[in-house]
Amino acid sequence: MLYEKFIRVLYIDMTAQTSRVEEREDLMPYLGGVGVGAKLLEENMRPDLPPLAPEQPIVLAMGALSTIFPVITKTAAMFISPLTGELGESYAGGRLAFAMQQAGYDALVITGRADQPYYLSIDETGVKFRDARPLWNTNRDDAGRYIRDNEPGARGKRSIIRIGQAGENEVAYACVTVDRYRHFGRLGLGAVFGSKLLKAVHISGERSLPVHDFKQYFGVFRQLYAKADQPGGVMSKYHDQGTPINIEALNAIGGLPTRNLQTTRVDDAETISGEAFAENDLVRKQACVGCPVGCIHIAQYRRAFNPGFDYETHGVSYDYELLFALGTFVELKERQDILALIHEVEVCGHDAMSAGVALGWACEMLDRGLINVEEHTLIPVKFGDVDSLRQALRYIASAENDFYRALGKGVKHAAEVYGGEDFAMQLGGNEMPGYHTGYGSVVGVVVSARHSHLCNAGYSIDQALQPGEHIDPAAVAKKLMTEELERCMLNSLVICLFARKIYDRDTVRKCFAAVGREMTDDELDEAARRIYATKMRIKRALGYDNSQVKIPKRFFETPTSYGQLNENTAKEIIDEFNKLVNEVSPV
Amino acid sequence: MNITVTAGSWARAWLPGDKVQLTLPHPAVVQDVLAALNFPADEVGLFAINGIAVPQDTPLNDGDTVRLFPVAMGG
Repeated sequence: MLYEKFIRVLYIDMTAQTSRVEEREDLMPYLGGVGVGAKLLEENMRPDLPPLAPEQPIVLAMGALSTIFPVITKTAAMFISPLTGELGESYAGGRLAFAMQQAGYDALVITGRADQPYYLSIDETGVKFRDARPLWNTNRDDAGRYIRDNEPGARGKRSIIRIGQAGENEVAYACVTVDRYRHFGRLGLGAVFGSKLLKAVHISGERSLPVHDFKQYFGVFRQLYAKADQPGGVMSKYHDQGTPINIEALNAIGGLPTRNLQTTRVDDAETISGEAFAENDLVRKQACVGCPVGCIHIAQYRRAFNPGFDYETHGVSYDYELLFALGTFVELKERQDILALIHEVEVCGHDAMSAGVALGWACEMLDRGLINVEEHTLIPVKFGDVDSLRQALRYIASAENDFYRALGKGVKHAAEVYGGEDFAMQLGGNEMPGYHTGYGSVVGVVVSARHSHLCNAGYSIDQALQPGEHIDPAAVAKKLMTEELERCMLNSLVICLFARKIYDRDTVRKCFAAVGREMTDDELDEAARRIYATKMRIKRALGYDNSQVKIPKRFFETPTSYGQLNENTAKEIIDEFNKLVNEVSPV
Repeated sequence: MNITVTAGSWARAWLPGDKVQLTLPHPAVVQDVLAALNFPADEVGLFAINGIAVPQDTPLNDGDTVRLFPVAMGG
């Protein structure tokens, strides 16, 4: 809690429909965000029970500097992932951190399972359990609209997070939608909501937070705002085209996963490039609360629903990962088709990346005759065929048959049941991200705490190498660990990682000082290691071991932009990384 | 030699217009276009000639079109 010496935690029991608040001084060394979230997860999780057992907690934690400095906008969610069976960690922007701050809670811990669907209405006075039976089986738009209309709270100052059908049916990569266009996307937080019969959380507050030393605070704030808002500055590319700018770059280097990673280039990258979307489909941009950048790119998806020129339109948020997973990975080549698939993912409530990778595997399985339409896919699901891909997304969300139920547990699980493990493109149980650039992109995801490219940015390490350049496994492992630790600290603030060039150590220290908390570099290092060690203890308690991860063969068969990868070299990097893990967090 | 440089809207702070024509002395390599344009090197993730990425020390030929791409972004 800003200006206080404690972290204020709201504990909610869905079974008993009770709540309590604790002010925890002992959590201060964990800063906030991922740090506080990881510690609360460790305290409340039950390693002896499955990820979706009622006892398992959902932790939402805002950061130590959330929303009071530019681009520090995110909230961390910590849980046990139903997709990987181990550490679940996800981030979302929007208004959630701001609303938590206004309501006066640094973190929420939600446990138990209700006897019927509920949504929670949270403010300074506590928690109300609202009947959500009418909302069950509604999508994120309808649920959001109902709650907006029925809950008090000023628009723009409250946050509504909710699940769709995928979450209700416990699809292992179901997302939680935050304020319509943001998501806790990865690793299945939506399924954990569904398992508790928790449809949504509405949070708002009117708490005022006077600044103690306005001159010092505003001086730092203004400097940062100017950096973030500077035309042509480090953040401007996120505002202009946003991450879709990566499409052409990754295609040029041969690092763009295409057709279930059968290849890494497409013929007409310019037709689905960031520039093409911006020129033809972009209708507006939005920003999270506390961010001057405005990187949320909204395109118009236009659909004919009747003959006679009857159309409906939808605003669809797009970025690079969505264009890869729901575009090149399933071989869609038309921008409106890609937007149609993104829209379907949104309506169902899936994680876009996992859903796209799952579809890619299903298309190839059917192509190869390893599964069939009658018993498995029900329709001919094909690369490049948007209608069949959309229907398959609906079937996954509704758990239509045994095949789709298995696919809804993740591509790793589905391949264990039906075969095709060599081309089931997951790492550590999490579907791959949109980078096939070298050892950094592949090994980086394997060794990262939550099997995400965003833990250590291995793809960035690859970009600094020339194709075929000598690889020193120890040096690669060290770079991965250095970034992983730094991001533990940054994700406890919680910055948007787009702004990582702005939030260097000097700036982070100035920000803390401006709100009355002096932090040295050593203390920040120590916090990063403390947070990372907590994550490792959680992973070990859940039975995870890096050295047991089996990397699907296709990662080594399809050349990266660095060149073809060697399995032994990958293993050497993993071994080197594990030595570093043991230094930070001894077994 | 005459070289055309393109980048896209992300580079408009340093590269006015869609295309810039440069004249460079022989011999020159791809990264020489940055100095000629006063373009910050740390903003460039890769260079491509005819859509295919090339190392920064690739020799240039008269009439080449060099495309600049930003560092890939995630977050």
